[in-house]
Amino acid sequence: MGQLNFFPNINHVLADNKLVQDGSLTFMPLNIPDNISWATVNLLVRTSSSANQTHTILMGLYSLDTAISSLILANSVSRSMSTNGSGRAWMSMVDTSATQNITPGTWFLGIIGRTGGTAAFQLVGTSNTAIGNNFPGGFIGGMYSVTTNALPSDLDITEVTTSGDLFEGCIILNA
Amino acid sequence: MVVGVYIPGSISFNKVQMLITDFGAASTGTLTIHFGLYSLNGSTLSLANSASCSTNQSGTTPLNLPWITLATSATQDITPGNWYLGFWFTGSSAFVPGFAGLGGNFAWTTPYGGNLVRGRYSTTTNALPSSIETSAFNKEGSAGDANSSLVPYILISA
Repeated sequence: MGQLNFFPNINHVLADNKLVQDGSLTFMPLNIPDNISWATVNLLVRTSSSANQTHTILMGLYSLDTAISSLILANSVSRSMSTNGSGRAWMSMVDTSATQNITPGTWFLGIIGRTGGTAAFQLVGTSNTAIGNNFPGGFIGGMYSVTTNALPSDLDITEVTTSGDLFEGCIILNA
Repeated sequence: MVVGVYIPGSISFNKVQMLITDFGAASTGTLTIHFGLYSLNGSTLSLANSASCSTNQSGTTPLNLPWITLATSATQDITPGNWYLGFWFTGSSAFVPGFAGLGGNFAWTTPYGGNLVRGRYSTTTNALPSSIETSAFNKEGSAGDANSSLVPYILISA
């Protein structure tokens, strides 16, 4: 296997804007096709207010241990941004908790949004809203059932709601 | 404009098809679409292959979303991994073409961090550069280049 310079998860048709609820934790799947360093993580966000606002994103890289049906935290990164404008912005995060070479396979990104000043803060991607039942197949992501200020080190997938709002964000991983 | 992609498996590169938007209601003259396949070596994009297509337009009837076929300068086996696709037009100022694709003219405020993934070449050119420093590209959201977020629809075929 080779080593990627970048992995773009950005070619979403008709991208949606998902409103961030303060303290919400969203899990989205990421199929990494080749080795890549966990160095710079770019998340596409949208602000829609001219008021002063400060928002924080905490992002965790999780593996799925199917033997115990748990998400295990492998790495993390975070960043705060302050703005008083409207538009789409790449939130670039570089202070990863550890150096890591991500191996090919399925990973999950856990994204906590902490909003301040205004609720007009959104993640950009693809969002399926108002699904009536839990996804019947294997775990593919969803919403953590409680609000939180910190990334759980491990999490039983039964605590993640797979009905309602499944979200796939626009992400660029850069080595 | 360049767009970084991940090619998952080997593919013979012989032709590329691109989807072009309306040429305009009164376009006349010759329009040439250029395509370049670039690899990244350090901080330099190096031209590995190229393709182009010229079309003569006359009269006032526009073409709506035509597929254009560009033939490569040499048949190549593209290996799996990251590659950069370069696109642009040359021709008469009477044309107002565009590439159909994903994304749009968002109001960008901040560019992405890290290596070049996609962006717009900072200078105009009439020929495919054989090598380009990645620093010569403006990422989407960079000052003075807010709307370069389009990912063109293309088909690469053997």
